[in-house]
Amino acid sequence: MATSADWKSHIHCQLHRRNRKQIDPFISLIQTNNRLQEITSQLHLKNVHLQVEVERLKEENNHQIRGDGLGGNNASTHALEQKLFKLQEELTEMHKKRGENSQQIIDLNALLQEKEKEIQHKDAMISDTVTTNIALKQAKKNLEMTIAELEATNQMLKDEHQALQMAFTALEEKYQKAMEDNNDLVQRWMEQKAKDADKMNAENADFIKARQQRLARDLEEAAKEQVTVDTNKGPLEVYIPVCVYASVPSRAQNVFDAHEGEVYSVQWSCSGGYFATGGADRKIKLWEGHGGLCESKGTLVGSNAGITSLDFSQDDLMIVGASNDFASRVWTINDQRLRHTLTGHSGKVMSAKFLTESKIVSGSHDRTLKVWDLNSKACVKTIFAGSSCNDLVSSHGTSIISGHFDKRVRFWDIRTSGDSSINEILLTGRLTSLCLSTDKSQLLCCTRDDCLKILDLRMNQVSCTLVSDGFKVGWDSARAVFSPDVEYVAAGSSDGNLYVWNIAKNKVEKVLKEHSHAVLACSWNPAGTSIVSCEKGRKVVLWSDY
Amino acid sequence: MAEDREILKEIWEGKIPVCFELANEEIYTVEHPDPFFLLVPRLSYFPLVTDKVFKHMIKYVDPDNHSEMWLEYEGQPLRWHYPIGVLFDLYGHQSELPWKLTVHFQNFPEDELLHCPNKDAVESHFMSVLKEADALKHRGQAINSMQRKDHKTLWSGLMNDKFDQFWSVNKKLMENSGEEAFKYIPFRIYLTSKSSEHVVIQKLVKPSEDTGENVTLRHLLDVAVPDLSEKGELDKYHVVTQGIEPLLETPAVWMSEHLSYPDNFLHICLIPRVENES
Amino acid sequence: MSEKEERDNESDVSTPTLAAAEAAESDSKTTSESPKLPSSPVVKQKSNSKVDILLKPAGDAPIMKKKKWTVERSRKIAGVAEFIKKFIKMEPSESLFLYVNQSFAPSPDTEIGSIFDCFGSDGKLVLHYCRTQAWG
Repeated sequence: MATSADWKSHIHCQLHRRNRKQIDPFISLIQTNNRLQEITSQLHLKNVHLQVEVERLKEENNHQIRGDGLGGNNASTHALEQKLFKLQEELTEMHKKRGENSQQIIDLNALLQEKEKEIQHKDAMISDTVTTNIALKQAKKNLEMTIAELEATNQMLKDEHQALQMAFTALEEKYQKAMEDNNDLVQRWMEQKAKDADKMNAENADFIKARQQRLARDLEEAAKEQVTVDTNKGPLEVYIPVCVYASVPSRAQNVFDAHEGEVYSVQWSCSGGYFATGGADRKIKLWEGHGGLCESKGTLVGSNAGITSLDFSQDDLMIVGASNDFASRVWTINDQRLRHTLTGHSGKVMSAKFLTESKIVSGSHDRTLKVWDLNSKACVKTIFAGSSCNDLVSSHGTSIISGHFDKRVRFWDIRTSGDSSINEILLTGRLTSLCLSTDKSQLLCCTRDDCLKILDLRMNQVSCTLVSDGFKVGWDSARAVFSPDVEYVAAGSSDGNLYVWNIAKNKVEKVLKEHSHAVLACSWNPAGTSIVSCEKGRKVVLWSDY
Repeated sequence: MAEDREILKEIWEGKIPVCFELANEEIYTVEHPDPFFLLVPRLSYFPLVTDKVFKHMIKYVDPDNHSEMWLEYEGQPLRWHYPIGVLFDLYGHQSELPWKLTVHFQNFPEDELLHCPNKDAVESHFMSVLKEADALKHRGQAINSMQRKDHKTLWSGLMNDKFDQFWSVNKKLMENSGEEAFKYIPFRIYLTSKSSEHVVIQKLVKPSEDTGENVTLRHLLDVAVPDLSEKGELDKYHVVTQGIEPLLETPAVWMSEHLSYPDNFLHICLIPRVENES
Repeated sequence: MSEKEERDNESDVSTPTLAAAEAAESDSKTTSESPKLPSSPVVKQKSNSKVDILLKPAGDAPIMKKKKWTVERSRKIAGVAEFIKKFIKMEPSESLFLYVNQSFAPSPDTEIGSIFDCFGSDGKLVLHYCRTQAWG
């Protein structure tokens, strides 16, 4: 601190001097000055106020002086003044009135304007209404036009209705007339039928009478003649051949046109002496083979559509044919007469077979099987099989086996009531035909998947499956058959060939080529030596080596 | 130390008598205004002390044609953001007292002066310079560690001429020991040429040499205006601060602590000596 | 930040001068401004010496693509502020604040040279500019 005394005291000194020089001389002066200035400004303000006051007082004074000076002429001036005052008052009054009047005018003007505005408003409203009116009129016109149009339409409809009514009446009359005619015709037809029946009865009676007469005569003649009885002669029954073993023919012995269209069905008689064919030409023909020739033994007519299946009765006296006309028919062979027409199915009948001599079973496209009694000429049972039946076979008189579109083989017993089957077996294709072996232990099934299956009925299972490369099942009722000795199976293919399999070897034994169309059905002669087959053309082929 | 405090007190009390006169060409009324006298603190700024002047003078100017009030001394517009003491040292050092300033309300010299819309502008300028000073002294740590109310205390102490109030806070900024020792001395040198224009010089000067020796005012000038000291022309100038000419041996750091303006800067004016001056 | 500075250093050679940019600017515009600075003898002596400044935005101020500029020492803060305002397309009536050390705003008539001497580092002076008062 001591060393720094010089510069510090120097500074201190200077500061001291500075302040003394710069502040002290002025502080009081400036303060005084400021105070004086303030006072001055205050005084100045006061002065201004006073001047204003003086001015005001002067004014007042003047006024008073003037008032005093006018005192002399008081009397005359007073009157004048009063007059003036009155006049002035009057003037004021007038002014006031004028003011009022003008106010009134203004009010009225305002009122007028208001009214005018109202009128304008009303005018606008009127014009609005007029336009609305026009619009409404237009609308009304439109509506009237619409009504007229509707009325015209209505009239037209009425007319049409009347015309239709008239037409209806006319038709009804016509219908009435037709009904009458119909009734008349039915009556006449009934009469005719009764006459026919009478005639037939008479004929029958005549026939019986003639036969009795002939019998009597024969008896008489026989009684006359000396007859030597041949004790070696066998029973009088039809000869039923028994096949020891079958041979497969390799030659087409006879080829001929059997029908005028497709030949759907072929069947050897039980005796094997002749065979029957059924075709699209609605006929059944009977044929007898003699050496290389086939001779027509007769034609059974009566069917209204193509024949789908044939079956001989056990004694060869009757033949049943199933038909596409929903009916099955029974003919007697001897006199070749139509004996029964079995109607009741609602679809084409695919197959009909003899159950016994007096019972027939038929399977139809209508998914039912029906059992018919020839004695009562009536349907005694209807089985609802659930699927279209393509073929059926019967065994032992009471059991039925049917093959169906739904790939099932169903087993039925007609003695049981109800619709349920005893058994059913599902195969791999829809069934087209069934064939029972002669010993009734095996069933041949032909299916649409181009194979043949042999069912062992005692085992209820497939024992053998037969196929071949070229073999094709062409349609839903193609028929396959066993040989009588159950060694072979024959079936026609859609390629026009007849295939014969050896069951034991499970292979094709022979392919017989002669047909030019698809082979539909075939039948093996009960003697086992020949086969007859039919095709989609008109041909029937008899295969035999003898 | 009692002496130091006395010096601080003397510095604070430094005032300058000023005579304000309205510029002749701007007098609008018939009556000419009286000059206005004020004793203004050296440490303050003109916008803070001229309210009364404004009120007095505004009555005599064209009410439709006046803008911000500005001051002029002998053709030199006065920057309001310099402390009054600096302005007086720069321009009025040799003038008669009271200092005659001319008041203007027209023709604001846009190129030379900054506008001063209100006292807030003065405050923000003041605070900014204060921060700059602390940035030099303490890397800004002292001022930044203060609260806002401390800043306000500083400002209102200056505005209301309250020495104790101001120094209660300012002493923290002037802390100069240990960690808080000054890094650099905040100073500005106003070098005036004969044409009364001046240059502001501001440089980094440490409080002590690397040898540990205290830097004196002379050293400081050597660094700040090397041209002058090399040519030995320093003698041709008055070295003035706070209206006094300290000895060149005075330690710069002591000056900074005691002779700084409230903005914490040493404002040193170099005024050329007049030829015939003794 | 440091990466940027490094990149700036690399492009040091091509640092444009504020004056050149401004001259180009005032060529395109008819308004003449940037008054010639009064030059005292001392200033003249140093007028050639220039310093590098780095302009960085603060607050919501737009970024300048070119941050580094070379400025005469005698140029004033107000001049730099005017230049920035033009560069980032601010209205002349809007105010712009320049900060040193992110703490104080030097008065507009301060010369860049003095600030550079006191607050420059690594051969350049960092100035933050913003549209509102950012620091104190």
